[in-house]
Amino acid sequence: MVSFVRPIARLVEELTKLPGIGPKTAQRLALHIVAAPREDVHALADAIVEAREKTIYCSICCNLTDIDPCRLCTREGRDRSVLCVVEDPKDVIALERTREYKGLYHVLQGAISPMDGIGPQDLRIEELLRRLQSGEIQEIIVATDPNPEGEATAMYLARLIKPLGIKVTRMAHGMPVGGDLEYIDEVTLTKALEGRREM
Amino acid sequence: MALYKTEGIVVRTRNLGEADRIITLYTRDRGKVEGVARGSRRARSRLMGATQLFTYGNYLMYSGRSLDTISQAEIQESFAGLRNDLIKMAHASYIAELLDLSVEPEEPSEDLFALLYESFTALDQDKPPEIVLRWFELHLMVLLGYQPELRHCVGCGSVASEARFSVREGGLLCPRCLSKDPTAIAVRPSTIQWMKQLMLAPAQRLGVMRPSLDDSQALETVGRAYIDYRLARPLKSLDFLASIKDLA
Repeated sequence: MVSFVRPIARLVEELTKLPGIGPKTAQRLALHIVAAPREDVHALADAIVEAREKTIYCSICCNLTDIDPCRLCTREGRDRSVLCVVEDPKDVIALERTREYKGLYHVLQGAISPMDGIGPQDLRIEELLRRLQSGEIQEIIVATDPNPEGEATAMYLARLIKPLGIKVTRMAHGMPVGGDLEYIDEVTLTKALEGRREM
Repeated sequence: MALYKTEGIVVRTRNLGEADRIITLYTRDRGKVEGVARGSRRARSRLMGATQLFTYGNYLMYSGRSLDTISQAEIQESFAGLRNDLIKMAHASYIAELLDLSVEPEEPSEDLFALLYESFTALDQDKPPEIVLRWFELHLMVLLGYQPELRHCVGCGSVASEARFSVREGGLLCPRCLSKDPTAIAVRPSTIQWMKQLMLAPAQRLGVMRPSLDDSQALETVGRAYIDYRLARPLKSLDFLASIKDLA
């Protein structure tokens, strides 16, 4: 059997470790890289190393950052009395896209998942509690995913934080913009009814 | 590709790729079945609601070469209460994980399905969660063929008094037969009485069963030890159950 020469085989092997990349995709990528201009390949390799080396967790909000504390934590003009708790860095990006939210963030780096053995101690909850000690924060907006893991995390946080006398709110559940009512499941519809607003 | 319809309860979900999910169903007619719910993590997916953990629903699946795919789904009972309450969520997770690990795929048992359904219903209806767990554990063992012997000594067959419970032998050991399993757990007669009652009681009766604190703890110790011995693998949801208790 003819196989790839050692350097290409090694590259294929490394690429296969990436999420969603199977052996065939890895081979295609590897052959593309080998044939690509030298400078492009160096740029890719450098970018990978730089991203890995220069990315750290912000010591305040636990988001990914290259400077500590991160830009969102230090930015002027953010409302320092509201704190939005999310599961991962992608959620911060999504919320920032709304341009509606002006407060601070806290990234838990996951959600409670009993059956996967992920408990509260695996999340950045201690860091969150430490932030609340200053007394500056008056409201926590829990924006974890609306699935069982996110809900469990939200309920856990509420139990932990409410006794401290800080207001804890949960993002609303409801009808998605642009959807069809008939295809919305009854649980979501019930929540949408509960959370209806006067027009 | 063969299409089939089934009804079942979602006992486990795992994320797959960007927006898909693999769900494990315990079905009434086919036992444990796994299926891919494509796109079910997207906000506008029609499959999203009916593929949430603990949901009881009707599913239209087609069997592919490897994993089956869920093509349509409809909620029969959402069991939303089990997801909206931290205590219930923790207990339901334990039940779901225990069932998932105890059975092999595609070994139908309508009794096991009924046990799961009744246990979830009992939790949903605010029956004491600890009792529901003990009831589920005992009945699960019975249905899997490990019914513990609670009347006679498993060593000599004599009516067991002052007996200990041996997880290895699957029942009571009288003082004379204790050498068979010196690790047998000391249990009070009242605890054994409660175990017998739990094995006979229908789920609707769980609300009125109130063992003393000592008996509750003993029931947990014996039940957990017996499960651990039979299952021989750790249950991940136990840690969360413990951390919830710390919080309360």
